[in-house]
Amino acid sequence: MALKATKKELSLFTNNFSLTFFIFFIFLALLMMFMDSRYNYLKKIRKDFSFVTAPLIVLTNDSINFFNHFQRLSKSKALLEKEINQLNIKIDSLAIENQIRNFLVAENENLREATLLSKKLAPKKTYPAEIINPSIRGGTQIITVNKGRKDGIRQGMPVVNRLGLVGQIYTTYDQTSEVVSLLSKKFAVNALQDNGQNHAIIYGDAEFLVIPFFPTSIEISLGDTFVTSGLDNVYPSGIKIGEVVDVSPEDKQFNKIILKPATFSNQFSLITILDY
Amino acid sequence: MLKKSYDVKVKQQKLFIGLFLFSIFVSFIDLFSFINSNFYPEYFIALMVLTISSNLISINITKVFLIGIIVDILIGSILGQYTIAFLLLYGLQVFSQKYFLMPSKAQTILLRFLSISFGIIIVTIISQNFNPIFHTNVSLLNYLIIEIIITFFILIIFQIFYERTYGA
Repeated sequence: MALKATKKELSLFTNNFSLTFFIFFIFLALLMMFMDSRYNYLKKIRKDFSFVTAPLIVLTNDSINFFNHFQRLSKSKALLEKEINQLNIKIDSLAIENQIRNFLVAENENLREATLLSKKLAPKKTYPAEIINPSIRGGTQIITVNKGRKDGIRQGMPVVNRLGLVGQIYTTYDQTSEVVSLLSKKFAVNALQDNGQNHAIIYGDAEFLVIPFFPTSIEISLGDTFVTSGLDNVYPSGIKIGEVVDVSPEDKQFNKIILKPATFSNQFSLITILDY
Repeated sequence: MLKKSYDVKVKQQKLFIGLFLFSIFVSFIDLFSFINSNFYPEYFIALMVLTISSNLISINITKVFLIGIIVDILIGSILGQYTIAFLLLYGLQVFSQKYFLMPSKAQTILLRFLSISFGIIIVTIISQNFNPIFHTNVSLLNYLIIEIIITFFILIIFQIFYERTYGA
């Protein structure tokens, strides 16, 4: 009579090392990596399993928020009053700036109509959001915001704060989203020099932004700023990206330009997501 | 090799689950934010090196594969990143047990250090290629050295907990 193999006897489940299974699993892992890099399966799996990971994120948030709230409570009344006064002064100056801006926008529209140029697209809607924890996953820094698919956030939306461009929405979950910073090496944006004449593509380079090949024939000096051009139809035009901090010759024809970003994601807890 | 009693086995299984949950928790927290560094210990690599090398739980290749997939879903840059790292760590351990005698404690520690280094190099190389938000403030070599040192330190802490499961 044939003996029925028990689970213990199946070589896949025994503690004995089998080279065949080892090679098989290595091959399977490589196949998974290939498939994921091609079809982005991990993003989809994470979205499907967000009901498991969401409580973990809430747990980490709550423990950190508890300490933050504790710190906030210990702030004195005088300090808060001082902050309110400063904010009131800032609101006044912003209101004046806004009046000038409105006038300029109206003037720009009139000029465009007179010269038969197409209308500049403004963001359809803006979503104020807050940067929350987790700020890291595994060994890499991430920017998580408290707005997700349920709030209407979509992959690819530009993210800004009051100083300039922060990045772009990379992944969306039901309640939260992740932002890829403009410092990421895979980030690129079409930019325009603030004199409105020269276009360039700016890349992220870990700590700084870089224009790898900028023609030497074009004059550029330290402190010049670059803004989004709007040509890529991803970012609205006129958002500050960064300012030139170094110009070094790459060869006879091109210079390498290093830019300091206008804003760092860790400078503010509030950001704005644009529906453009 | 000493045969573990039932009590010790249960304690070690509990320890593994505890350390696994702890690793998930700390992988989402920037514990060293006050020094503004970009270095994060690889808690899961430390845990798997301990598990594989000291038989914290009864382990086989299928379990290693499944644990790898879970870790990938939780914190991986790409599906298969930690899976392949854990499988290779498992392979390294089996290879060393088969072909080398490991009588002294110093040699065991050296093997663990090499395993950690091996695991971190694999995970970092894959992160660098597939993670769009991976960046380091320092050169890659310095980053690897610091990562290996802090992860080895975490392994030592895990090891202390492991040794306590045997009691006095």
